[in-house]
Amino acid sequence: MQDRLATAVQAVSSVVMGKEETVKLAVACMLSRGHLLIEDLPGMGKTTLAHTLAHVFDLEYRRVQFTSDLLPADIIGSAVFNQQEGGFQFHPGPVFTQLLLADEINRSTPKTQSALLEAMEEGQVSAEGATRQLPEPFFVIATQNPASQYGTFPLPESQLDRFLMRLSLGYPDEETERALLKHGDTRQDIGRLAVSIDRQTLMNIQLACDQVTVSDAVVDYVQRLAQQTRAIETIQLGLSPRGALALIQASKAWAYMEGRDFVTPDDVQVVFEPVVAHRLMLRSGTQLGQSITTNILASVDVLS
Amino acid sequence: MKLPTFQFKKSTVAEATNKPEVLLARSSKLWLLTMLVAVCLPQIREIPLWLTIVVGALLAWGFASTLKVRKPLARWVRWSVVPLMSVGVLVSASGLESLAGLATLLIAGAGLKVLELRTRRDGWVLVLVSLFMVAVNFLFDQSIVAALYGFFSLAITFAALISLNEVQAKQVNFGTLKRSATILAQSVPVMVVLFLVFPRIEPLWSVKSERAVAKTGLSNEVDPGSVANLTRNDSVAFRASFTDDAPPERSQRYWRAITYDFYDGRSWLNVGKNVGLEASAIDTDTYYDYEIIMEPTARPWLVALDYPQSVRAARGTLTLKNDFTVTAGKPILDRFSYSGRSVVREATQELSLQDRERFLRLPPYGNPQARALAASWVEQQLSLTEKIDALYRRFNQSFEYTLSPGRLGRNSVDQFLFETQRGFCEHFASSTAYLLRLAGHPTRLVGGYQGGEWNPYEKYMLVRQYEAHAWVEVWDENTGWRRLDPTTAVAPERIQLPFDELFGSSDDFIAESPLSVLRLGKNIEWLNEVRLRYEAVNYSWHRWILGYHNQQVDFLHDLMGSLSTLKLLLVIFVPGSLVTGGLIWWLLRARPRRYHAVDADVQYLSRLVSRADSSLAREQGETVRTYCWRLAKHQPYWEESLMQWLNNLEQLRYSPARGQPEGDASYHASFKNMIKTVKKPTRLLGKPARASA
Amino acid sequence: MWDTVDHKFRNWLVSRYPVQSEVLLTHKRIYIFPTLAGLAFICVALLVLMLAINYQNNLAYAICFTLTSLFITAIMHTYANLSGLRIRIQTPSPVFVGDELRYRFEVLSSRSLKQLQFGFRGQEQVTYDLERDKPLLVYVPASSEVRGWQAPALLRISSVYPLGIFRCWTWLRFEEPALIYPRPVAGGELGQLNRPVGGDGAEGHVGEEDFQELKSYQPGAPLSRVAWKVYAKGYGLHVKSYQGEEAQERWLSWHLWPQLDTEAKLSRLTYWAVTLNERQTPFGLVLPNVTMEPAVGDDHLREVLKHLALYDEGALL
Repeated sequence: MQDRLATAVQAVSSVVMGKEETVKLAVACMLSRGHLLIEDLPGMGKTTLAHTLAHVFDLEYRRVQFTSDLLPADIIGSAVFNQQEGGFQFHPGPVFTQLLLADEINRSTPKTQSALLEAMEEGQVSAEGATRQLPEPFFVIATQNPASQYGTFPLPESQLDRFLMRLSLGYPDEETERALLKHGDTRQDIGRLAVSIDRQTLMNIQLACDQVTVSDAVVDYVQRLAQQTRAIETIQLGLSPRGALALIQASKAWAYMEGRDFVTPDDVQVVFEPVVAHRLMLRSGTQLGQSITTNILASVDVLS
Repeated sequence: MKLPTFQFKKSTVAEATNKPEVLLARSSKLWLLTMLVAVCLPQIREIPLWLTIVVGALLAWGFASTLKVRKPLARWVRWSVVPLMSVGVLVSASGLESLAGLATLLIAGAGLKVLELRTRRDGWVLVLVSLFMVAVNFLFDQSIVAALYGFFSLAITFAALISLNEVQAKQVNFGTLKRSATILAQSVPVMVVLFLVFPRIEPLWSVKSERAVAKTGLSNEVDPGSVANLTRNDSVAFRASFTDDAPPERSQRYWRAITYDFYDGRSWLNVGKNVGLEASAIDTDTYYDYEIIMEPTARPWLVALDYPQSVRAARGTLTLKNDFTVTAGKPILDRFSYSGRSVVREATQELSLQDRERFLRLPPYGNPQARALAASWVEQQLSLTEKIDALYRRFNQSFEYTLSPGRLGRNSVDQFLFETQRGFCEHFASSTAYLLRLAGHPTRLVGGYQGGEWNPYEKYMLVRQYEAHAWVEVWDENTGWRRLDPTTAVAPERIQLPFDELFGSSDDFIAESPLSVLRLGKNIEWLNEVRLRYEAVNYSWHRWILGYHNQQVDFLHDLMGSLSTLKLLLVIFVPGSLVTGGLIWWLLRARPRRYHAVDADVQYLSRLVSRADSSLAREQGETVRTYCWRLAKHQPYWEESLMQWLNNLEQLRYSPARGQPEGDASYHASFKNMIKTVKKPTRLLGKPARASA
Repeated sequence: MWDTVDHKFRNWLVSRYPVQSEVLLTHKRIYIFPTLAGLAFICVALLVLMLAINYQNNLAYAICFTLTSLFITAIMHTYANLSGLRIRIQTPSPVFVGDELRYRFEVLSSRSLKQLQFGFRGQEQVTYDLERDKPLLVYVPASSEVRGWQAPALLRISSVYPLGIFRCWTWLRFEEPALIYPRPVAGGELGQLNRPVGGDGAEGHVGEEDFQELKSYQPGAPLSRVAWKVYAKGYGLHVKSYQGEEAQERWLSWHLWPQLDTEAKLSRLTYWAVTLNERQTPFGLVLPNVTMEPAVGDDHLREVLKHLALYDEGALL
C-alpha cells in the first residue's frame, strides 16, 4: 500500500515539480482526514496541486473562487421555488463535492468563510431547515494570498485551526524552475496521469492510519512540545489540546506513509511546523515564523 | 454577578495544611496509627496485659474506622473508656517499677489519644509522645536489634510527621517513608559527632534502685551447690580485652571476684574486713594489662585476673583489697568498665596474727571423719605439700566431678568426702579448705571465674556465668599465699578445656536456656563461627556504644591529645558545617534528568562519542534516528550496527507491542554490539572518516 | 503600638527590595524560624536528654542527638523547599467590588516544591504543590472592597514542609494593580433609561412591538423570534425582525438618579451596563468627565466599567 502511495506522490510531484516534500505532507493531510490551507503567492502552483491531488486520488473536484460578494448560499446551495412542484427545492452548492478548492478564501466576507468552515468542521451542511451530509471523503484545500492584504478578511485564529495543516509551496529551486520553463505548463499533464489510488482504497488507508500506534513516549513528547509553546513569552496563546491532537493525527499518517505501524518522534518533527505554526499567534499579532517552530523543536528534548 | 469573560478557572488547590485545626487526612491517620504500633510493640513485655489488650483494641478500631471498615465508636463508649483507663493505670502503675510505670502511662495516654485523633494538633501530640517513647524503649532493651528497631520506628514516626504536612493523599504513600529515611540518614553525621563529644555527666538524681536490678553472679556466701547453680545460666558475666591482644593461657585464666574467710559448718561467707592493699612493687615482666566490661550484678565486687596489681576506672574509684579483690564500693547497677594490670606470679604478703586467726577459725564441732583425717595428717607430721598431695590423691582415686552432685545433709564435708564423693568445684574447694584449716594452715576460699572464650574476630574474652568457679588459697609459711585448685585433681580437663565442651551434654548445663546456640552449636563448626562473629559484634556494641560513657575520655584523648573546649568546639563545628554545606549543595543541586532506560542508552552513546569529539553529542531536539544518521555519516564504519540498534530501539520504545526493555534480548544484543563497534574505531582508527576525506 | 512597629518593620523589609514583576527567591529574601511545633520538638529532645543522663543510657543519648541533628537538617530541607522559586505576577482580571479577587502569579522552579502557601496579609492562604520545571498558575485571593485600581498587598509565600518544625517565608511586593469595578446594584427602571437625558439620542422607541420584516434564519438567532407560523406552512425557518432594533440605543447617564450619592450612582450604572450588554442593547455612557458613544460588546462594556471604576478616584483615598 505504501508503494501505491509513493507512486501517487510521485505522480503528483511530476506535475507540481520539485515539491515532493510538500506534496507528501499534503497527502498525509488527506490521509488523516484533515483540511489543507495553502498560503502562497499567486502562480506558485496551488491550484495545480489541488487539481492533481483530486485526479490522482480519483476524487470529484470543484473549485470556488472566493470574492467579496460571494454569499454563503453560493457555496452551500440555496432553495429555489420550483414552479412546477409548487415548493422550494434545494440546489446543492459547490461544497457538495469530494475535493473543494477554495481559492483565495480570505477575499470573501467572514460570513461566507464561516459557512464553509462550518461545513468543514461538521462534514454536513444545514440549509433551508434540513441537514445534508457532505460526500465522503471530503477535503477542502483553501488557498490564501499573504501578500495582498488590501480588501481581504484574514481568517480569525479560532477558525484557522479547522485546517489540519498550513503549507506553502514557495518558489521552485533553480533546477526545477529551469525544467518548468523548458517543459512549459505541466497542467495539461494532469489528465494524462493514471489514477493511483481509488476512493475506496483511500478510505481504507485512512482507517489504517487510525490504527497506527502512538506510544506513551511519543504522547509525552507531543505534550512537552505543547507545553513549550505555552511557555514561550512571545506566543500569545499556546497550542490547544485540539492542536496537540491534530499533531498526533498527522504524525500517524506520516508514520503510515513511512511504512511503519507506530509513530516516532521523527514523524512528529516532520509535521510539526505545518500543523502547529498557523495555530499559534504571536503577541505582536503576526503568525509564527519558521524560526520559532524550529526553536521549539530544538529546545524540547526528544528523550525522556 | 459575573461576566463570562471574567471567569477564572480554579486550578487544583491543595488543602491548606498550615493550621493546627486542619483535620487529619486518611493517609496521615494511617501513618500515625502505624507509628503507634511500632513504638508500643517493644513495650508489650513491660506493661500490664490488660493494657496491651485495651490499647491493641483501640488501635485496631482506629485502623478499622480510618479504613471505613467500622463506624467510629459511639460517644458514650469513648467517654467511658477514659475514666476506666485512668483507674486501671493508677492501680497498675503503683505496683510497677518507675520505668515500667512511665511506659504504662505513656502507652495508655497514646491509646486514649487514638479516640480523639482528628486534627493536626492531635497528630503532633502523638508524634512527640512517640519520639519520647522510642527513647524510653531503650531503657528496657539496648541490644543491637533493639537499636535498629528504634531507628526504624523513628523513621516511621518522622514519616507520620511528614504526612501531617504533605498533600492530603488518600492512600499511604511510601515516598513519605523514603523521605523520612533520607532526612534521618542525613542527620546521622552530626548525630555521631554529638554522640562522641557531648560530655557525659553524672545522673542528676538517682533513678535506679538496687531492687530493680536482679542480683546475679557470685554471692557473698558459698554453700554446696551454689556455684553449680550458676552453670544453668549462659548469660554473660563480663568481657575482657587485653593489651597486645595476648590473653593468658587457659590454665592461667583465674578471674578473682571474692574471697570467703568464714565457715559456719555449711557455707562459706565473706565477713571479715579486708583492708586496702598497699602498693606491692612486684618486679616482673609477665603482667597483663586488660580492660573489663562487667555486666550489672547489683553487687559491689568486681573481677580481676589473678593477681591484680592495680585497677582503674574512668568513672568512680575502685579499691584493691589486701585479699586481691576489687570493689567498687557500691553495687554495680549498670554495665561497668574498668581496666587493670595483673601479674602472674603468686603474691607474697605478710599475714597478721589477727588474719592468721581469722583464716584458721572453724566451728568447733561436726564432721568427725574429716577431723580424724586432718588429725592423722598432723600426727604423721606431713608437710603442707604432702597433705595436699594426699588429699589430691584421694580426690583423684574415687571422686566424681559433676554438675549434679545431689544434696548434702549435716556434716556435709564428711558426707561429701566419705559417702557421696560426687561434687562440683565448690565441694572440692570447700572440703579442701576445711581440711587444711583443721590441719592448721590458714586458708581461704576464692570465688570467681575460670576460663573464658577468646573471640578471634574482635580480640576479646567472653566469660559467662557458667564459668563460675571456686578455689582455695592456703598460706604457705615459706612462700605466702598459694593457689590450690582441687578441681584439677579430680578433673584436670576443667581447667584445660572450655567449660561447655566438658559439660555440653549434661542436662543441667545452661538448663535455663535449653535452645541456646551454645548447646547446639559447639559441634557445628560454621554455627560456632557465626556465633563467635555475632558475639564479636555484640562486644564492640557493648564497649563502644552502650558503654561509651566509660570510654569517652580515653577515646577523645587518643583522638586529639589533651582536651580543650576549643578543640571540642572545632570537632563539633568543622564536621557539622561540612555536612551542612554538603547537604545544602545536595538539596539545591540541579538534578540531572532521569531518562527512560532506553533513552538513557542513547544518552550513554552520546556521552561516549562526544568524549572524542564534542560536536558528536546529541542535540536536545535531535531524534534518535537523525542522530544515528549523523553519526553514521561521520563514521560510515558504524552505520550497520547503529542502524540495527536504531531499528530495535524504535520498535522497543515507540511500538508498545514489543514489551519491556529488560525482556528484550535482541535490543540489548544490538546495543552491546553497537557500543563495541563505536568504541573500536575511536581507538584503532584514531581519526574519524571525515578527517581523511 | 506594636502594630505600627510591625508595620514599619515590614515596610523596611520590603523597601529593601525594588518592586519587580519577577522574583527569584534566594537566601537574601527567605526567613526561617521554628514553629510552635518545632519548639515542642526541642522540648522533647531535652526530655530525652534528661532520660539519657539519669539512666546513663547511650542509646537514649543517640536519640536525643538524632533529634537535635534532625532539627538542623530540617532547617535546610525547609529552606530548600522555598529557595529557587521563581514567581511572576500576571495581569489580574478585573472583578466587581465584593466579588472574589484573585491575583494570578506564575510560579516555576527547577526542583519540585511542596505545600507552598501563598497569601496576602490577613487574607486566606492557598496551598499549592509545584512540580519540577512545570510552570503553575497560582491564584491568591484578596479582598475587593473599594473600586478603582488596587495594587496587591504584601504577598507572603511560606512553607513548613517537610517536617513542620520550621517555617520559612518571604514577603514580596508586586505592582500589578487589579481593576475593581463598582458593585452592581439593581435599581431604577429601564423606562427611565429610554428618556433622553444626557444627550439628544433616539426618542420614543416603542421597543419590540414594531414588526418590520421576515429574514431567513441564521444560526444563532434567538429562538423566540423564529417565525414558527411561517415555518409551519413549510416555508422554512425565518426570523422576525423589528423596527428600531438596531437604532435602539440607551444612554447611561450620571444625571439619571440625582437623589443617589456618588457610589450608589456608580453601582446602579454598573448594573445597567452589565444588564444592557447581556441584552445586546447598545448603550452609551455619560459621566461628568467623560462621554462614550453607544456600542455593544464585551470590549465596550469593559471600557465603560473601567470609567465607572475610576470615576473621581482621588475622592476614594
